[in-house]
Amino acid sequence: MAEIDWSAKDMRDVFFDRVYDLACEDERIVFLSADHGAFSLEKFKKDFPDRYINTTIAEQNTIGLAAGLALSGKIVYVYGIASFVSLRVLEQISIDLAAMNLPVNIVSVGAGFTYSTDGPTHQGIQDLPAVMTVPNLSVYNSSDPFSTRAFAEIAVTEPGAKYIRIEKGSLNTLFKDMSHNYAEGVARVRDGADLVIVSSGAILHEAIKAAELLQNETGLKVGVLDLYRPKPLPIKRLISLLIDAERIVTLEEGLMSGGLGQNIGSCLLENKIFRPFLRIGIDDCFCFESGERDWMRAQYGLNAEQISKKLIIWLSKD
Amino acid sequence: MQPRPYSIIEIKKKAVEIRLSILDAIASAGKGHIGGAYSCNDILVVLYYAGFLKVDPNKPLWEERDRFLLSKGHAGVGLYAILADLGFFSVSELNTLNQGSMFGEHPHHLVPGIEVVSGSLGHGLPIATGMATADKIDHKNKQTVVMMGDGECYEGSVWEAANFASHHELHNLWAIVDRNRLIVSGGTEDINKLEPFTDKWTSFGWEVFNVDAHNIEDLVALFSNLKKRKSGPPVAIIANSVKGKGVSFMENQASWHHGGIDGKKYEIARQELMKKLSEYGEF
Repeated sequence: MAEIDWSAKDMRDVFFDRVYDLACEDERIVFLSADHGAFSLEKFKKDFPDRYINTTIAEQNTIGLAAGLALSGKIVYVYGIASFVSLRVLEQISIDLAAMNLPVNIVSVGAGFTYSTDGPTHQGIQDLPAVMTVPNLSVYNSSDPFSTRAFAEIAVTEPGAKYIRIEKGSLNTLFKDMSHNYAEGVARVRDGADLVIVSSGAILHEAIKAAELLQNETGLKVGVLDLYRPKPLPIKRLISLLIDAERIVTLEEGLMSGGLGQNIGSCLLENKIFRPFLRIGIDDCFCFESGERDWMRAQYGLNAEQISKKLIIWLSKD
Repeated sequence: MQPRPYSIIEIKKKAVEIRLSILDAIASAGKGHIGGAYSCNDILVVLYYAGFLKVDPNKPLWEERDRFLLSKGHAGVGLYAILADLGFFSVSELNTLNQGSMFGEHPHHLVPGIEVVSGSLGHGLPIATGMATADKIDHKNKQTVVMMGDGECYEGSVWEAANFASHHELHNLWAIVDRNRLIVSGGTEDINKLEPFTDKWTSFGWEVFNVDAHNIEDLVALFSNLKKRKSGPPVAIIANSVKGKGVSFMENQASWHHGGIDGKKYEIARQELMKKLSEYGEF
């Protein structure tokens, strides 16, 4: 059998192909799409017409509907664009899903500047800070094909409501295979302890490139952690991976206010881990520019070269 | 075990008894949403005591139960009073309302017999739509009933769900709107018109029935007929009601949406309800 080229696949297909397999075995699985498609969903629609519902452009009803289905014994996936299945329905996520601990999995596409040419309404830069305020809700942010596939399964095997971000398009592999224990919440994807970058999602690949550039430039050993489950924060595991770090940097393709960096910083302080600490992300602003994702990242200092240069300046102030 | 269906006269008497329980619970709590609890009280009593809802107080999570969602959660005290009377929990627990217990003014799912968390308006119909959809997928002969306030119908989510439910022909879904025509600040038609209300539901593809929310005979007849439906669109019941129904000085007064009752007012209210109760005699 030919080996699968995981890095050539669209992450939506990786995720939905796995959902299809799970749905073949488990009749409880119902899929709701807020009028959002993907190539790999076609066979789900065709083979399980009773269990695929296009709920259309009505996100509040979609989340309530998912709650009602889950209260009737179903396991539900809800698929839509990041900003519309988070901010727009934050109260529904909180009251209808999380408060009642229901097995509903919000599958969010459009992290960061994925839909950067669609303007500020379609950017996924505020969804994580928003959903991370919801008690009981687990948040997953996939960074490679294996974590993407794993989260399709965690949606069924782990109880409760989840917000799962997957990528539109392909991602290079970070993990060797599916053997990583995704219950850990965080993994080291690059060795080095002079400086450690903690990141999550597609932007993590810029962190790895930045780490290489920085290491070449300064000789410092630069490590990278993939915090693929930002909530609940895997505190013990995170601390065990950061305890030897000389300096700690966080990188996110989203608003820093209420984001990963704030949560990680609070966690470090509360656990008496005092290190030089820097957050990199988007300041308190709206992004009205329109351009492709790489261009947009560059406007906000989020490509590898910019990150590396910023860190060199920061290090010079030690 | 399911409660036995009551006769019309028994339902009428029970409706007054539940109003008395609500009065006592709110007097004990110091405050509560009495006006909206009284406007939908007769409908809730008919649903629970005339056999229109398949429920078992000993098995609140019985899989085959019908589901009733109190989307206008501020009337929670009224539903608590019924559930306590039916034996889902004790009457003494009802009187812990707002006094360091699980019983708050807006109900949640941790209270036996309460299906969902409610309080914020516009959530019940979408959730009920999901329940009815699940029952349709599973070919289950179960009823989902949601009770909303008329003011709740200002929420856009209600109409998102209304559109979905009619498209998917959820005949197993009844949405009852407690049309008492009052919101906190005054009359719905003065502040932000809801009329033509029936036409709105009809235009969304629902089969609509208007009913006097306090006429027990009419309510029983309506629900009896609706129970026979096995297909068709979802049903909207516009229940024309009186806020504060049952106590003269509360009726049609927006000011009785929420508040406390004690002293002389409590005594007058109690006397009025006791007088009504005495009209039904002993049986």
